[in-house]
Amino acid sequence: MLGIISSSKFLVRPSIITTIQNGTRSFTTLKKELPTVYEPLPKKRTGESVLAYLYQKMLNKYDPSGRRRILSKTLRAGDVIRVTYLDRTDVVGRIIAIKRGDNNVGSNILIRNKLNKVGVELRIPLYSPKLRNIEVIQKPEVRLARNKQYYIRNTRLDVQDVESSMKRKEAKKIKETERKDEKKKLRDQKAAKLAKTAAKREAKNAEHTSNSHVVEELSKKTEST
Amino acid sequence: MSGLLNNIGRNGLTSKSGFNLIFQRGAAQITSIHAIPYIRTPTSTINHSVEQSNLRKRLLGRPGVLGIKRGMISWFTEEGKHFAATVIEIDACEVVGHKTKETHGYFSVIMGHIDKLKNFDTRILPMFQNAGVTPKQQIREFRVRDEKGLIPLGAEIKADYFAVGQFVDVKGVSKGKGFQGVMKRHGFKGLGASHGVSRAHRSAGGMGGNQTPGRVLPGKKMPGRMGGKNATVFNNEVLFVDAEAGILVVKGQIPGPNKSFVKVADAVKAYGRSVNDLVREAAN
Repeated sequence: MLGIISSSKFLVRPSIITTIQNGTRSFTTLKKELPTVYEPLPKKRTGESVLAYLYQKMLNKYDPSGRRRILSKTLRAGDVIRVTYLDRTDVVGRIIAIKRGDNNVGSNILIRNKLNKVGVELRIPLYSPKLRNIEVIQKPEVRLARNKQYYIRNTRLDVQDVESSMKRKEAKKIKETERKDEKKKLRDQKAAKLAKTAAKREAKNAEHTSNSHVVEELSKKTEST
Repeated sequence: MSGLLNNIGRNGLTSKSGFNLIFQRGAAQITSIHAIPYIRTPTSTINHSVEQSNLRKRLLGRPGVLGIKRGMISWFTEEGKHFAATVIEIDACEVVGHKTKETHGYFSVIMGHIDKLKNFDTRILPMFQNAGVTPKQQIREFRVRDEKGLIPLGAEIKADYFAVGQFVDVKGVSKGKGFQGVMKRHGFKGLGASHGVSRAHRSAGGMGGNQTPGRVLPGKKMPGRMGGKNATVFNNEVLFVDAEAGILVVKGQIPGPNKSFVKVADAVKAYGRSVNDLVREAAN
């Protein structure tokens, strides 16, 4: 299995036993030779640390596209997200905290919501194979302090019913756009009307002028006659 | 007449004809020549002996593996279940020696792991030379039931020695906690927070009786050094195995801090059998 490194045999050290005679030392070699040392096995993982190796392997397994890894970097506390599971059920909530593992699959997101005026929190493993999609619904215009916003619980900064507030906002938006559309419509109608009237008047004016021309001609005729 | 016989029975006389006369309840009986006067019973085994104890011992058929605790990670199953797991590195774990019943009284496999190329003890170098392996940083032995479990010298044991899904026992030295009180060390409740308790909220309370027994009984749980002792975690499931990379992942936690040395072996409670067990099973 392993090659013997004959050169790595230990040198035999002399041991002094007799007295010095005429300036020369006599010695005897040790009877027992020191043992051979075999070469070590080749290093595994080319010297990479076990955890780093395993993390990389697991990330590639649970996040082959790298989308989740990007999410773990881009998401921030305060964002409203919708998490869809493989069975198509989904949850909505505002991110309170993100626990980012040391680039590992232990990362998770804590989201908070209010259902029937009761605060509800859910910790979602970011790399869980149960998840289908994580979608950012809303990013706040002004962010609250701290990356871990545990302090907002039961204060005036607390999360409201995210879903209904989203619906309300959407409804408001729709209403606004409708109103805008109506206004635009009205404006357009008015403009069209104005244009129509203007055109009519112009046409009338034109007729009048042509009539006057005729009258002039007639008058000329009468003058000549 | 009966009185006379009774007298003879008491004295146990021998008749003139040479027959042994045994007298019971006043009636004379002659021993049959077919009767078995006595049987030599087998010498009783002393159960409280090393040999018998060894036969009774629940042991494994094969040795375990030496490893290094590297840390804990999150683990997902195929169904999406999520739990904690521990990563164990298996680094150049090789068989260094054997112990046999003839020479040592029992069978065991001596293993070493982590190649050590400097500052080794020259006294144990012959062992490594004999096995044909590099000197190792740590040497430990695993007891096995019989000679079938003696893996040949110099064999490297890799992580795929264990199958995914099987159970293993992990032995290590628990984290040292220093000198601790009874509440942390033994889980005592302590004394009350109020009701007149003064500066003794985490105290142990009574230590024993009064005049009887007049002393604190041996083994009383008291404050003292906690942790830093051998600890075993039984029946950890094997979740992942990578032989080439030397990685073994087991479910749950194992004793000791990161980088500490551990012994991983098949679960004794699941796979352990004594010699007596095997004999019994063969008979059935």
